[in-house]
Amino acid sequence: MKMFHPSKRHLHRFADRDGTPRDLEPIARHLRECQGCRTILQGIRSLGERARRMDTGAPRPEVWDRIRNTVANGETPILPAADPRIVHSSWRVPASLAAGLTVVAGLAWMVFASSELQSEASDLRFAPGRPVSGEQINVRYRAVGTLADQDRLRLRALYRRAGDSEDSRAVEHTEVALLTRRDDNTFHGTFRLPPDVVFAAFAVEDKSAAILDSHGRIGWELLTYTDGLPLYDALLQRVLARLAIGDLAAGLMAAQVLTASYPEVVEGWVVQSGLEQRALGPTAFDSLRANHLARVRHFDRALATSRNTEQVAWEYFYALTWGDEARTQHWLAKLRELAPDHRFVVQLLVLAIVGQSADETPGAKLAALDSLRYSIGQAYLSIAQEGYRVAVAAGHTADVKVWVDRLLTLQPWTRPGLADELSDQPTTRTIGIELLEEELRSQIERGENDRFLYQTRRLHHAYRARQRRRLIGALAEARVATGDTAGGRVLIDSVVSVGWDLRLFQIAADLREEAGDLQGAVEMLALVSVDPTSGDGNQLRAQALQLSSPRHWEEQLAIARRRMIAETFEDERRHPLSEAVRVVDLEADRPRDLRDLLRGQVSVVAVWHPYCTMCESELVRLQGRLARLEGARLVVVALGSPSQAAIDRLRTGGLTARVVIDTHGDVPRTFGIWGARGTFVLDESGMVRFAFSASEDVPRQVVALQTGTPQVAE
Amino acid sequence: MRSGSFQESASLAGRLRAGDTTALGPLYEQYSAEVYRVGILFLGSEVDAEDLVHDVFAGLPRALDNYDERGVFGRWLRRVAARTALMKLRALKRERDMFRERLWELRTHEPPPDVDKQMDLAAALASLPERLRIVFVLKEVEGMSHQEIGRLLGITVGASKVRLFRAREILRTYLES
Repeated sequence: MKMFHPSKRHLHRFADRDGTPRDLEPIARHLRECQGCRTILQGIRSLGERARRMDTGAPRPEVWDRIRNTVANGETPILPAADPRIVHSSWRVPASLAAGLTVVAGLAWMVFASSELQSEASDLRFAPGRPVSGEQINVRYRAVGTLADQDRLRLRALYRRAGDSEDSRAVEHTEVALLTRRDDNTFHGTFRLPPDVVFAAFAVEDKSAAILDSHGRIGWELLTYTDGLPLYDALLQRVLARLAIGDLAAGLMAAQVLTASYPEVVEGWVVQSGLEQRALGPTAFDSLRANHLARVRHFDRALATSRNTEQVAWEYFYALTWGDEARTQHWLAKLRELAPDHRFVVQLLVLAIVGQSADETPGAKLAALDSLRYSIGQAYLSIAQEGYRVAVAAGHTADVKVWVDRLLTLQPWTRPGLADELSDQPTTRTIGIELLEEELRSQIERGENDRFLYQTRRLHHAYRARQRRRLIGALAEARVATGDTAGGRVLIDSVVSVGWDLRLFQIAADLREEAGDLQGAVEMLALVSVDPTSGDGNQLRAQALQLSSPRHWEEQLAIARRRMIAETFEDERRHPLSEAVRVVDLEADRPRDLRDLLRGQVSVVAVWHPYCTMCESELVRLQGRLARLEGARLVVVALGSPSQAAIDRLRTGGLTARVVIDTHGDVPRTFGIWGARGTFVLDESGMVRFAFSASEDVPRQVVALQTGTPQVAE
Repeated sequence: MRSGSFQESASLAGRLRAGDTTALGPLYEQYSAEVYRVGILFLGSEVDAEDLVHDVFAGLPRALDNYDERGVFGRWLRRVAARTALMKLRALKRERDMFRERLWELRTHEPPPDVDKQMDLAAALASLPERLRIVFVLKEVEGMSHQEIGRLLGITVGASKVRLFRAREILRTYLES
């Protein structure tokens, strides 16, 4: 069996006797048995000894003469009586000033306009704070926590251009600058905005992309301006950027800024109204409808003589959205007259073609769509989408291939989804298999160009690994379905031997059972069964007992449990919280040391940024996952100062777990995080054992800690 | 270097504080090499180290107003030297290459027993980023705690530990290669 060696950090701490006897004893025990670690420890200790013995010589005799002369002349230097105070430049402008003003270059140092959403301690400022597209931008970043100890940091950006869709896979993620440290412990760098970029969001990370500050996932935002006002497209892209990370509330806030800044642009109101419906739900529909219909009537008057195609198009859509039939027809007619090839008009033409009577064959519909595409242009997504659907429904392989290619030309990032769908159907399975294989190959070539702003390299790799396993699972199923059972099994076996994926285990169980490998099937079912999130254990047991004896099942469960625990512990860290973590307990409304709340049982600490509204439902889901386990405790730590409304939303949403507020910024520093959400699993002694856990992995980690650490052995 | 007893040093310091400048000489004789060492390890240059020695001892009579005689005098003096060296460091914006170059020119009255190893360690120290070197010197040579280092440098205890860890690892790698 594998020997678990203490990490280097732990050996250093052991060398300094830094830790409680309980922390140090396991290391001492290991050192008694491990020569390699003893050698490392000796090397650590010898550094100090050698440095202390280093002979650095003595000053020359004339130094004493200088001293005597100085003292005799009464010219005594003033020495620092106290420890030097580290002075930070006061670059934090008052909030009222930060709301609008920017002082541009010309000062000895530049005042950076504050970004709209500020994290509580780290800060990224741009100068100019209201750039135009293509302008050179100076960046100043104040790091805290573990990023503060770096010499250099990387600045990564998400660039959005006018017309970009919501899908963040469609936009550019790139490194834009290296930030270098200055004497005042801030980091500085420069980059140039590409001339066609209207909106950008930024994250700061260390050189290995292991530590990341993404300002609560949203990123540090930068909009482009004209005449002192943010560009309409910049504001719109900000809405889409926030929606792309799933933050509906933040997207709605951005949409409200959009309509406030450009109240006479119809599109903004359409966007806002759609988000309001999603955010506020059906109970608010009537009041929303009344408000928006009033605005439709306003635009009806305001645009009476307008020949602005986009305004006319969006007024048509606005009226359509809110059910003003008369105005819908009026504005559609005007749009058809003004711009017969506008995408809204084309979409109606497409729908007319595909909605034709049942007498029309799919071939005829596809020919009509082809003809439309030829006459009006290839860039219309609606034509490609409908053509794809008709072709797939008809099941003609040649047609499917043509329309898949057309769709992927416009939206190449949708290939995984298309591949999965196509591989699932007999008539299109071969195409699906080809696409799956292409996608798997391209993932290797892609590198990390598609790493999202809020993903560390490790999280990105884990995300990619999960994606890859799912694609291979789909490919395996498709191969078996085409009769290549052996090929399918080889694929599945290659991905179920490492990594933890319940769906793949289930697929493998089915394939093995179909192939007559009953023992192999039971092995997979056992893996599914031991996962605390897998649900009905009785059903799995019943399925397994059809394939094997009760004794064999119990043996497989024990093996599966050991594998689950061993694999879970491969992600283990050992990070004691060695300093006080000052928080205010909302329940008791008094200051506490968080560590006191985390001892005695396995605990899950979920760090929550109060302006991350999407996190609220995730917290409730996490609570639900943990509720099925006994003896696990969830503590939610709110960074900064959440509003009472935010707390109320959490409680209304069903969160009953203890919530504490990190009043002093101790949590990011002691947990080693900044700017990203984090979920941590701690053992009974209050030591962090798993960090940045995915929500679905947390129950396994809890069970693993409750079961106990693997024994150290060869 | 001769270290006086605790009582002897405290007595000399008391006399100096009372205006008896003849006490400065014995204190210089006892502690100048220690202060010079702080200068070499922080500032990396013999010239700057000698300047540090000059400033510390020339300023000692006035600085003793802040010595409360609770701690060991030598430790207090090295602390003052470290603070002064940090101020100089910030003022000088010392280049790393110069530091490396100067360390190769260590003057010794007798060759140290392991001159090659010493040169290796000197070069290794020179290769450290300044922030890491300072923490390493304060912890391993001056024997300060992480809390004291934190107060001196204006960093957290955690940051001090991280820097020490990184310094040690860089030194180990350098010396083993």
